[in-house]
Amino acid sequence: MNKKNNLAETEMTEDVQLIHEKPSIGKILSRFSRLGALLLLCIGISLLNQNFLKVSNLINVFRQAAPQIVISLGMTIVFLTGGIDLSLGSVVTMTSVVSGYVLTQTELPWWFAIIAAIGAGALSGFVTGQLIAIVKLPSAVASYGMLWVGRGLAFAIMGASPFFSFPDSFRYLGRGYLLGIPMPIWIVAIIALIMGWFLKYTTLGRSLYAIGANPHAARASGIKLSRTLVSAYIISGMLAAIGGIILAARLNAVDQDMGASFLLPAIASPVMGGTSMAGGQGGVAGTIIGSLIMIIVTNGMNLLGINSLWQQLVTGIVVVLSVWLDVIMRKRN
Amino acid sequence: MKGNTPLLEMKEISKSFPGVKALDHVSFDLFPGEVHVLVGENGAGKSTLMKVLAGAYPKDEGEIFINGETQSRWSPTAARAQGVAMVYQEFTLLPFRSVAENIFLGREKTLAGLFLDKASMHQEAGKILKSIGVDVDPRVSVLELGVAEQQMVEIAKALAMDARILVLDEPTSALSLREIEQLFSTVAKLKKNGVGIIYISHRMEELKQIGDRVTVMRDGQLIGTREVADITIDEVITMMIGREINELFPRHHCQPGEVALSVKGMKSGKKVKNVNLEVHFGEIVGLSGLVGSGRTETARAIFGLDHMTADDLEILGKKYKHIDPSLAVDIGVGLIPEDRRRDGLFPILSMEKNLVMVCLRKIFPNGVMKPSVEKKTATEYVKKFDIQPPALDRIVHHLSGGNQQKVVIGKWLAAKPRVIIIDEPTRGIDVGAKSEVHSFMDRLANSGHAILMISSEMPEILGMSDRIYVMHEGKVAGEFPRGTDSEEILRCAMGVN
Repeated sequence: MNKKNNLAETEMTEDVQLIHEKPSIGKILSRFSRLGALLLLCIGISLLNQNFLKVSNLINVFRQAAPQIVISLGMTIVFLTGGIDLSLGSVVTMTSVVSGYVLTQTELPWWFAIIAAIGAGALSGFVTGQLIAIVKLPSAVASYGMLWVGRGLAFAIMGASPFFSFPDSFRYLGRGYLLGIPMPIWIVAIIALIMGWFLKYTTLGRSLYAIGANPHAARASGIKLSRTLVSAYIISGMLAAIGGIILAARLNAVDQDMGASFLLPAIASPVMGGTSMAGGQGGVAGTIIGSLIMIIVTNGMNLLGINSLWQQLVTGIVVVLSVWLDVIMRKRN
Repeated sequence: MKGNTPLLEMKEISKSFPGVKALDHVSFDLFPGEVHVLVGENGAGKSTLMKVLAGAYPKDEGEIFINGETQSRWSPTAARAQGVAMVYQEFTLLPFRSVAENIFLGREKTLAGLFLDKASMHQEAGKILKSIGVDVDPRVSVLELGVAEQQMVEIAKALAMDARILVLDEPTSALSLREIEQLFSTVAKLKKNGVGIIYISHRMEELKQIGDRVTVMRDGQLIGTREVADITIDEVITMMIGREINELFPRHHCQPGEVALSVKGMKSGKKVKNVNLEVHFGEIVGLSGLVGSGRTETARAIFGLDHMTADDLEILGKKYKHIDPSLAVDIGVGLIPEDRRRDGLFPILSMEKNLVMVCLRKIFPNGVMKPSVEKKTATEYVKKFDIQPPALDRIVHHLSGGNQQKVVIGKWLAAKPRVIIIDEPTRGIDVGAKSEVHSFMDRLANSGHAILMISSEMPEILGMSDRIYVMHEGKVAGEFPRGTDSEEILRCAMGVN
């Protein structure tokens, strides 16, 4: 009796030619529709105002976008699992306050402030993740709780007066240049590369997509559900902390409201970039484009001197339009 | 009773689905005040016939008469208007609403068209409940009722809509003995009021207790309709099984090796009460039983998907106290699930990603993937299983049922398990894919794997298994060698000795 533990000997090994499907024009269009929208936006604004395409303005745009992009990447990771992390804005605040505390209230070196902030972000993500994976709270509820806990901690650490005037080596992260390019842009580039690699080429990254695509099947396929979910929230907390550090270094101060305004753009950017809130679909590149569209719309309106009251309305319209465009493109395929 | 015009007459009804003839010229009738029992194995066509009656499926051929009048347009609305009502195993009541509100759901009585007339709804509901001998306060919320009482409310809801033809689908499957008595006295009251009842059941003893006539279906065909008084339970079972199975199964029996999986005294949830079984290397063991006997739950428990306790659980020579799916994968156990869409597939991901999902940790132990290895692995299984179209980037949602099942089997075999549990290996796939799946199972067993196969299809159980366990109400009720005839297995499954 033949007792080999594989099927290689079966007669099904006749040569089957794999089909490599050529992407249709529609598919190519939809793949690059977001990039196209971004370019159209840039062309439109530069026609209306020559200052937009100046290198100094573009670098300024990117530098402003940096914290937004990093925080949005954190939300992207959570979206991939089919969850949402409402605490990210307050984690930005809390972690930058932690770094401010270390920098101004202790004798510890500046790099320790970074480690402390990232550690605090990881810890809050760990707690949120545990609440979701073990206690089985819906992610919106668990992270909403963490939103208030994070704010409360920030207040408790800071007391009444903001922390400011940080050492130059720390401020360099927000204001410095390396080879003529601002540090925040370097940081974003490195994080984007690491995250892109992580999502595409690691089994943990793949598991995040699997959980978002079908949590039941993920569990039945032997994926460790709780561990994977918790790591997603830890990563998103750490990214929020890095966003907070860039912000604190650029502003040279921290206060108790600095993170709150980042939450909604962090939700909008991945969605505009094609990441599904239902989970299982999306990635790094889309989120970066989504963030850039949002920042450039604001920057463009500033250059054109549009009243800030109208700016918010336009931002809302742009978000809805770009997601709508994406939905239409997907339906056509 | 005969001689009256039948309440319902279904004549020569046919219904096909792609690849299957679900109903083949089936005729069925029902008289007022009659309980007509409908029996048949899983997949015999009972539910399809009832769905045609309810208007949920359009019929391909045949005619429906109500009170002798032909019905040219049949739809869910028409069926309801003619007094057809279904009471399913899963209840459709709103748990937080009162009994009366549920009974009048969607047809609420109002004052001046604006305000709910609770008083008259309560009164009316109370009257209906009383008429079927049920003592339930119409004001309490459904949440507070027991299963049997909820069923009574379902029946009352049907009667409030003037149901004359009531279909009860496995009504006693969730009831205790005392509750069954209560149901039967309600049925007796309904009969007296001239309601016709179609009663679907797997429990043979109930046939004699409340049935007037019985109709047996098999493979989408009508086998016969008899007076219950004139027929024995043995005769009914023989009619259900019919002639010998002549389908060909590619099972090449071989000498089994050592014990690969051994479970003793396993309990899990409400459905698995005491399971003892053993599977050897080189063996396909069939696990048979009626729907609801706890087969699927047994598979899920062994694999660690549901919480379980066992006196003894031994897998590949090692004893385990607890097991979870990820441990199961690591030690070489695979579960190809019954519910492919829920537990098997990642519908929005590509074929390649689906195929490597289980073996990821095995082929990339340090967590970093190599695209070339991933592609090679996926390609291997696309070829081995002849998955069509052989396009790795294809989203599996767009594949046919048979190819989806091949993807699920392929993703499991890619992890190279030694013990494989297959739950309904060929459900919902076409004939060609079916025999391919059977050949794979045969080759797997003969190359030294241990296979536990759960199936509702008797031919599959008989044709593929080297040994057969039969489950009845959460317990392994019997063990049979290959070559046992289907009648003996069905008796065991039904708890008839």
